[in-house]
Amino acid sequence: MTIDNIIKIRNVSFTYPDAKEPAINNVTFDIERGSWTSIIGHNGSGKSTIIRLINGLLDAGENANSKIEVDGIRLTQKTVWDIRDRVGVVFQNPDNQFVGATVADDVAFGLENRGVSRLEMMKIVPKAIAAVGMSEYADSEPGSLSGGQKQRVAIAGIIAIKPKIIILDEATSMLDPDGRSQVLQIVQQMKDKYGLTVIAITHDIDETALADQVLVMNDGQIVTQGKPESVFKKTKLLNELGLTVPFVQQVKKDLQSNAINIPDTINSEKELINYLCQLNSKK
Amino acid sequence: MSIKFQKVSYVYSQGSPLEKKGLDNVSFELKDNSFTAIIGHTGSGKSTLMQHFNALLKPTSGQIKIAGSLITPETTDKHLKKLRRHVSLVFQFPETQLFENTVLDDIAFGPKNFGYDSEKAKASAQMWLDRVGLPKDIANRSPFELSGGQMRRVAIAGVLAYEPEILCLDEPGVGLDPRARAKMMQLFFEYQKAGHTIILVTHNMDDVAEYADDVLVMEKGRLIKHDVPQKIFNDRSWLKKHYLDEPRASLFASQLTNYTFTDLPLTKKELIAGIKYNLRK
Amino acid sequence: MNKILIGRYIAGDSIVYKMDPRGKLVATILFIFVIFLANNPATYAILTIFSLVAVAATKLKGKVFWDGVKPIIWLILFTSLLQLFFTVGGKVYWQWMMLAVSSYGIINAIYIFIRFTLIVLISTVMTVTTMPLEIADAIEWLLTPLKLFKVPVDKIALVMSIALRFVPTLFDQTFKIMNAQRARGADFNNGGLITRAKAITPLLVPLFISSLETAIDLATAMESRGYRGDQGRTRYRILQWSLYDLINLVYFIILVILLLIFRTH
Repeated sequence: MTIDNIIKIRNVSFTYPDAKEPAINNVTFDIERGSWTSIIGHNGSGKSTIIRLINGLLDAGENANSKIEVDGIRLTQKTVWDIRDRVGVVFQNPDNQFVGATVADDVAFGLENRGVSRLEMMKIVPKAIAAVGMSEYADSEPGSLSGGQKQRVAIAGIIAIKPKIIILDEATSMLDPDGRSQVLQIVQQMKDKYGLTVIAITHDIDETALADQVLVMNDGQIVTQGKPESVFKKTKLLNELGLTVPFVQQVKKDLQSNAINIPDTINSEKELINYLCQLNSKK
Repeated sequence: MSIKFQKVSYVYSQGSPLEKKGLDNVSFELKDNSFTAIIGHTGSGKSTLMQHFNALLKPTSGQIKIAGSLITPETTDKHLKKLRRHVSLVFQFPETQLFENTVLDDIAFGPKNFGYDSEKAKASAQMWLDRVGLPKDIANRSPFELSGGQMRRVAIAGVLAYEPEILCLDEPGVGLDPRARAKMMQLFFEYQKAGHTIILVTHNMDDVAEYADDVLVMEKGRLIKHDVPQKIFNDRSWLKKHYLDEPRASLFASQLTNYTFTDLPLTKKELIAGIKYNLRK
Repeated sequence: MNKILIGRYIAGDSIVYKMDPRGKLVATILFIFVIFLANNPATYAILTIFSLVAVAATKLKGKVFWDGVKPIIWLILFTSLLQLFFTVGGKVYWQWMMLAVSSYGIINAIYIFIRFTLIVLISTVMTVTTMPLEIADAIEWLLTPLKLFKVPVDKIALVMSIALRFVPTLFDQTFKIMNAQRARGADFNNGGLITRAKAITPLLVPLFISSLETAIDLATAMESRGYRGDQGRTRYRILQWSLYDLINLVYFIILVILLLIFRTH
């Protein structure tokens, strides 16, 4: 069976006007339908640029060798709106993406833009709000909501247009731990319920535990990619890039350097705890 | 000269329909040269409490003794300069406070306000630019050309440049990548070691475990616990009851069911040492 | 403080709240014209009674309306006094140089006072019972005929609603920056005019920058959410007339008829 890739990026480069160095330098990668991909990298590594290229907020220009393909559609000037119907983005700042005067108005914004009839909206909007657990706030103004709640509203606004892909552009970085875990939980639920593909740009390395695939970016290029456990094995490389590894990996590595032998096959927190408990009962 | 809060209460929009209790009868004393963490959920009163340290908010009742000043409900906005020279406050996302034409001028803004002559202010700005880890050649650039992380450091340098005795910080690392975060925390830790007092409002329990020697726990405007980190984090059922997180190390350690720890490990270093000790026994 | 700028809407539940903002806005505007129909004690009494009934119908505390009148009470009194001293005619009770208190003067002063106060009361009834957003919607509806002249009414409406939406955000940001600069020793309260004007730079520049950032973020988010101008846009929030608006209309018509009957011709 061939792998069904919902996003195909081929040889894409992008340079901001007035910049000397390209922000994205000849990048190629695929994202599998229904998967969760985390993109990590320090500030300015090109993470945010790449997602802005995917939904056409930035234009890489047309070039025979390079292409961006989303859900079988090649991104061009003509198809950009079709692609935006398939891709929803939750941005970093909860306040600055809240367009509507109330929660319901904001959730309806994307539908209004697509000319959905009012009758239809009256059905979709309450459902989308309920899906993120915000029903009791439907008529609330943004000022009375927490950052996490605003991000949940943003997710509802995306769910309402029935996209195939949801992108989190550091969507949890301005939230407190409660808000962060709520948002991630909702995204996980939505992913399962609607079979969405998730791309999450993040600083929170522990968040990558949710991912099927991790892409590591540096200087506009993909340095390494793969399953989380194989990426986080490369502690040295990640440290050189100024990235930390998940806490489990740190503990594992420190134990190893303290002459406590931990097999390479042990990667999750659960595995490490079980292994250490066995080790302690054996002696 | 310690910091002393005596029965401090604060009411928001008193007398209006929106009246809300921000602080409720809060009393505590903090030692000089300590590193105190203030923890609690969003809306628990942490930020309200922090703004009392330099009288941006003044108590509705009670009084505060800090850095040789006394803050009471009657304190007026005049004559606060002396207090604010000694007690400074860094808000979340401090990069939003930058405004000068050059990085150096922006850092020198605080020192000039607090009576440094222009020469001395520049020198201090130059020194702190370096200490926060920024390259020297950005001194004459516009702060708005810098990256987010660099802007944050310029803003922090702008506060450190007049060397306040007491430095209050509200989530200084939020939104930074892990490397920049760690560097910033290290900077504050060194500032404390150089003989200053740090007050840190944070959600990050790892930072509390790593750096703090004293902890204030806020809930609904009340101070519900004041103790050293070890004592606070040892009482796991209490933490659970108040929906507070634990440091990752102690969370990990608590799952190692057949291990015994004399003290619950709070940091990764302590965790590794504890595991080693158990396995060698 | 931000209550002044974003309107003085007070949550409540009464017949006035249930009325359509368009009806309320139109009635308020027309009221300002209709008030000039009154020209004798009977018509002023009718106006006053009708206005007080409207005030009572909101079911809000009297203080709310006093708060509406208070800021301009001096203006009202001053205008009334001008009328009192400068109107000539009728019996003169007191005179000094150009100033005179005459019977006409007294009556005019009272009329002016009533007129002014009633206009403030009625507009307060509207602003406290109608959310700023609803007012914006009502204004949009009033502007609809301008579409014939290619005025982009939909865009103007979207701009108005977004502007209203961001007023509280802007206020939060202002206070935050002010506090941050105060912590750095900036002083916004002391000093002469020039010192104060200078002191405001550290506030204005960051505020400008952050507003700009907000605008850019917002534009990005809107584009990403499929906003491409007015083309084929539908509306989620629409205003609907109800029976309550009929009450509003009938009440207003009765007022006008009574005024027409009882005014001095």
